[in-house]
Amino acid sequence: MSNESIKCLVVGGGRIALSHIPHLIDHISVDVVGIVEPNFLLRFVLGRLFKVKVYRSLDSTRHIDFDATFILTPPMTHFSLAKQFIERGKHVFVEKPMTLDALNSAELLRLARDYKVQFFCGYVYRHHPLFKEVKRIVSEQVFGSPTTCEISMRGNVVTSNSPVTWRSFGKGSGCLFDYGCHVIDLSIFLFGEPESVTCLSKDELYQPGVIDRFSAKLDHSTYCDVQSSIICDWSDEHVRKAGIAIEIKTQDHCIRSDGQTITVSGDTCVSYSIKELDTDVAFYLRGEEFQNQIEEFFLSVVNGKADYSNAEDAVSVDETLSKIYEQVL
Amino acid sequence: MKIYFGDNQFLGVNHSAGKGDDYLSKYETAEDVAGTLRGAWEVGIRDFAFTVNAKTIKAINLVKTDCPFNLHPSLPYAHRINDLVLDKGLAGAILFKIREFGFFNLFNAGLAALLNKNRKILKLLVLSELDGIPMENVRSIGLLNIATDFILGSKRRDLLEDFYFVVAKDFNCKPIFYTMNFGKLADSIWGEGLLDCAIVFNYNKNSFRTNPSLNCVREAVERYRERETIAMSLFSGSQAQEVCDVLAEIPSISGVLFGSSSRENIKSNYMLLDSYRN
Repeated sequence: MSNESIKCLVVGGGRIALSHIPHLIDHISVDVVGIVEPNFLLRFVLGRLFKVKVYRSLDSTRHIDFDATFILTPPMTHFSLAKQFIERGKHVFVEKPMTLDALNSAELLRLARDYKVQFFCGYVYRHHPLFKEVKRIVSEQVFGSPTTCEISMRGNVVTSNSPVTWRSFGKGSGCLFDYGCHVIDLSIFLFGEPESVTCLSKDELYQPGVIDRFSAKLDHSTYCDVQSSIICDWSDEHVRKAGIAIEIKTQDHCIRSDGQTITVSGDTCVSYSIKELDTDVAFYLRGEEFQNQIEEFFLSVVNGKADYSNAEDAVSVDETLSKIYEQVL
Repeated sequence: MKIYFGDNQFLGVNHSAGKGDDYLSKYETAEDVAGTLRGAWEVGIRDFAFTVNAKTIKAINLVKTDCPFNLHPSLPYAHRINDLVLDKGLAGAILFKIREFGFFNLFNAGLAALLNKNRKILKLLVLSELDGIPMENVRSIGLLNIATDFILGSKRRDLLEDFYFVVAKDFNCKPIFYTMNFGKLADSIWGEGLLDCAIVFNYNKNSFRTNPSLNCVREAVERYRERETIAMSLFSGSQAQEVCDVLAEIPSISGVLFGSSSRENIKSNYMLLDSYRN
């Protein structure tokens, strides 16, 4: 496969597709062979915009030859879609969260191993240059061994007037499966799989059964003896722009990052911004993390060496999400 | 070398969460923005490059008699589009924009778009974004990097060409393209014969967002030394001497775009650039 372009089918043409598709079209090793989108208007616009063949359903793509697929649909569809692609021997990139049931996610991972295909979940923040730097600081214990961590994600995207979408009902809805999975993934990215998880609070602000903010504690003691607090709120009216903040405490230092800067206080005081890191990418749109993420996926595909570390963590995220979802307070 | 005053500080973008919020508080009203614009005018700046949004447009109108800047609006304002998509969903946002244009205009433009003639609909889009700006002072119209790079990545050079001709012919202005992928865009625009336009790109000592590398950007500036190149983010983490050193690496540069909120910084940055060009 190393000398041929990777034929890629995109499934789902919503908002996140607009971030991925230009990267795919621009990529020197990728050929986008089709976009599957059931909504007529979106299908029409995407077809006109990207000059790529569009399809109403997967059934109409049976004749297409492709190597990899990008599943960019709502999470309740991820399991069945990913399963059928893996069983057809296709490499799969699936947007976060992997599925809505950790057992299903584990099954997908097992299948990917059996069929020897690359399987990757789109947790984009772990590919962000500054959060990668935080990971390096933590792993190399540059400012000492971490003891506690707080990761928060706040935004002001859901109000009482927000439209009803798949984010507004059923399992997979709410802040937990949107912001929550990102924050849990970052905690796992930094400190490994949690040994236990305790949900501290869950608030349903607008609709019953839809969690709009929550907090939880993750015990990472198996790997590095860190207690991680996570706080998510997508209805915080004081927030101008959604963002993630990390605060890690070691014995002598406090390390803070907001995605633009890292500030260290304590015995040593330093502060540096993303502008001082290596941020060069082959193609930039909306942040280096999108290109870094895609490069990592396709590198594994081209090299023929599937790397499941990302998918293993994504399964762990789903296990943690399920525990928080099911815990009765 | 032309000096452009930019507006990132008014919008609180490209700053850390705390700093961005501080800037937004500082520039809560149009009068706050107007105050800084008056300061920029007083130190000698004559060109103002900004993202189209209601507050900045109001500020421009507040100062237009005393400080008749050459205006360089750029579009689209990503936050407004993002809010629209969040509020209505992607399909709903498309329908909303369609309704905004009015049935007759849209029917004509839509019919042309169906025949792959996008300029009518593009003209409507640009016109709707420029609403309220004193057009007599507008010298150029820019396409921000979120749109330029989206189109570039999607390999739709024809849409960049459509923007070029709509701005040049329908608005009688110079097209400006903002990008984070300078070499690639320059090859696509200037390399393919669209010569009478400017490209704005990052250039700084830290190689921050000078994709795919600072060397490649430097080579592209040299390759297109006859064209209009405008560097931004030049002051990113740099001292005065370092800015001059960085500028010396790209002697053919046509302009520099910088933004600042304090009158002292605006003055010192302008003086530095002014002395460099002289």
